[in-house]
Amino acid sequence: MTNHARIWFVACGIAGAAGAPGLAQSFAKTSPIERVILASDTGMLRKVMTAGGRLYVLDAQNHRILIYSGKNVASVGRIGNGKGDLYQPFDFTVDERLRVYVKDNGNHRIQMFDAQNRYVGAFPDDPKSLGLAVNARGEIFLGQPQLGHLISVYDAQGKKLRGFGTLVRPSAILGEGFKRFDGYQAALNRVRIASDELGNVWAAFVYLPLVYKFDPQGKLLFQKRLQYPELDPVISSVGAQPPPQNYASMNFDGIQMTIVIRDVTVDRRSHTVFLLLGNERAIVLDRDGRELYGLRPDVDHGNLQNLAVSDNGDILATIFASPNLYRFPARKEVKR
Amino acid sequence: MGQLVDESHREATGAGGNARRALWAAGALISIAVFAFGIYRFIGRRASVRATSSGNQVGEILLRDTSGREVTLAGGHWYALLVGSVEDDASLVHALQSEAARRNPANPSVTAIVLARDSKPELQAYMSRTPPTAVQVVPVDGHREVLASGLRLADDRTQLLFVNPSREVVFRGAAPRVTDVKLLFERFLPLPSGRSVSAAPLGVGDQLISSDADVVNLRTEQRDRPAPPLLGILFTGRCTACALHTHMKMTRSVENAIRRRAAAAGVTPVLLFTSYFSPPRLREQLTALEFTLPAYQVTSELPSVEEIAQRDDADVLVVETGANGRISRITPLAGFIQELVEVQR
Repeated sequence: MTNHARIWFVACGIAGAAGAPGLAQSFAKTSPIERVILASDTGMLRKVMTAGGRLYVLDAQNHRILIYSGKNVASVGRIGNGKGDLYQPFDFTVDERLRVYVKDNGNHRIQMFDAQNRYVGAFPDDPKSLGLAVNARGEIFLGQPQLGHLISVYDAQGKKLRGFGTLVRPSAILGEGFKRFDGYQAALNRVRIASDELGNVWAAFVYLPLVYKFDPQGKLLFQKRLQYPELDPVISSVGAQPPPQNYASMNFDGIQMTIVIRDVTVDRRSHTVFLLLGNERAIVLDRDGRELYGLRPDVDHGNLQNLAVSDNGDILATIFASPNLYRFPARKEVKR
Repeated sequence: MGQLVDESHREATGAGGNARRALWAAGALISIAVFAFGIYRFIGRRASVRATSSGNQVGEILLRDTSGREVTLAGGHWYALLVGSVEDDASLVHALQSEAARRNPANPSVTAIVLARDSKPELQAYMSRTPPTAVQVVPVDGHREVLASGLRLADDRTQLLFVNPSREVVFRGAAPRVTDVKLLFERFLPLPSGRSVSAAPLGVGDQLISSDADVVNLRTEQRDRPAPPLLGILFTGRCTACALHTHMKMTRSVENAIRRRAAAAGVTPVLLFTSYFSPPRLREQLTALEFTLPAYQVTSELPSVEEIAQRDDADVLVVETGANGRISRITPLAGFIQELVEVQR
């Protein structure tokens, strides 16, 4: 590992409930993360994921997903409009049978590939979704607040099975000062989605400090409001024009918005959930939504966009507009 | 609403008021119905006209470029079409030009066309300062009817289309990146070896910037070139987004060390960018990151560097030149920073 490639992460122990004072005092440095040398060249990466001993990397620049398995590298997709082609893929997920589901954004569709990376089908991504997950039954969860609920559930043929999740009025969460955003209800109800080993669905609001957990049928099990002093500047910058330089923002529905929660990831082995927040703090929750610990990456050379947990417990990370993958053996050294 | 009813009631008074009122109402209703039918027909027609997409056949159309030359979209030939702005999409135009030029000497079978949405004065200004290239620029204005008959454009976003010799659209995509142009050419019109034949990679002893290259000082926006000997941080444009968001930040974090290193060697430290970058985005990022190093963009082709960008895993190179401008050393940025770190220890 080279020094320049190191990014230092800082772990913080979080005591008690969300918003508990004293959060800042318990930060502890962990060992540095290092760049993962991949077996093939990549362009800028958008997402990393692990499943079944494989490493999946969304190489957005080259419109493909690279799958690393031991010394083998396979590729799904290439630039194009045809079956199995991808154009500006935005997200993907992998189910228990190692089928790959891709939000093929530029082609306005969801595409599916089997464990041998062969194209198996597609259906229109209409209305445009943000947030993609799949459960053990192969049901596909898409965040589509335009349809009047947070999440729509589809089968592999694209037939809508059900929808669930009540839309949130933005000012109810952000405060009365944000009433002007109540007219953008669909845009502010964008969620990232992850499915856990029991088929429960976690929905993390992209622009609101809020996390929902639903059972497999879509019944709300609990909601968690994130109230950390460190998040306050992020939340107060929601809707700021232009968005603050140091916070990630996204224009997905025609309005540029500061991102409050960047990603949600389930670690099925440890039954924990990782939330990557807009200020690059990662919060690790147990299955009941209690904070176990927190991580604060100190990234000099870019913005974290996605985390994943590898089979050996390492945390893998992609950085916005970076062609590199990073890893970080955090949890063993985190001070609680 | 209630107030409006009251007003009309007041106007319709006097002898024969009821009859006139009835006539007036009937006339108004007919007018509204005709107007609504017209709107319905218009919307219906608009909705039924779908934009040309992948798999569609393009009708044979005749266009005229900004010089008045005929550009025919006919069969038996590949077409790469960029629908956008020569100003806002300058890096895409350049990539299109570059990729088409790389293929046409050996196999003149692709026509690169920019369907430009720029205004007439903007296009005139562009053509006056741009030498003739392999790309034909056709103004969309003045061709809307012709285009509608053979090639229906989707919306106002920048689009890239590839049309095969059978006039079938084999690709259409919105908001393309520079690298997409390269990938699409590689997919549909691969070079025989899969590699460039037009340029040799940059090497020690080569002239970094040839005397006829166009170089712009990004601070003054004037034509200007840095005087050798140089310590150039050269952003190749292999992945412009990576450079803008990651590698420039990385470079900024060691800017002072670069200055010290250059001062010790008696050379001028500069940032150099290829034409693959959008100048406004570069200036924005240079300002945002508060770079103090002089910054230049080579706005004409820099074949050897672009070759590296297209072929190798090289986003940023540190290139040192002698007083004659010839390269004395090339190091990847990562290795150079490693050296800086070790010197600091």
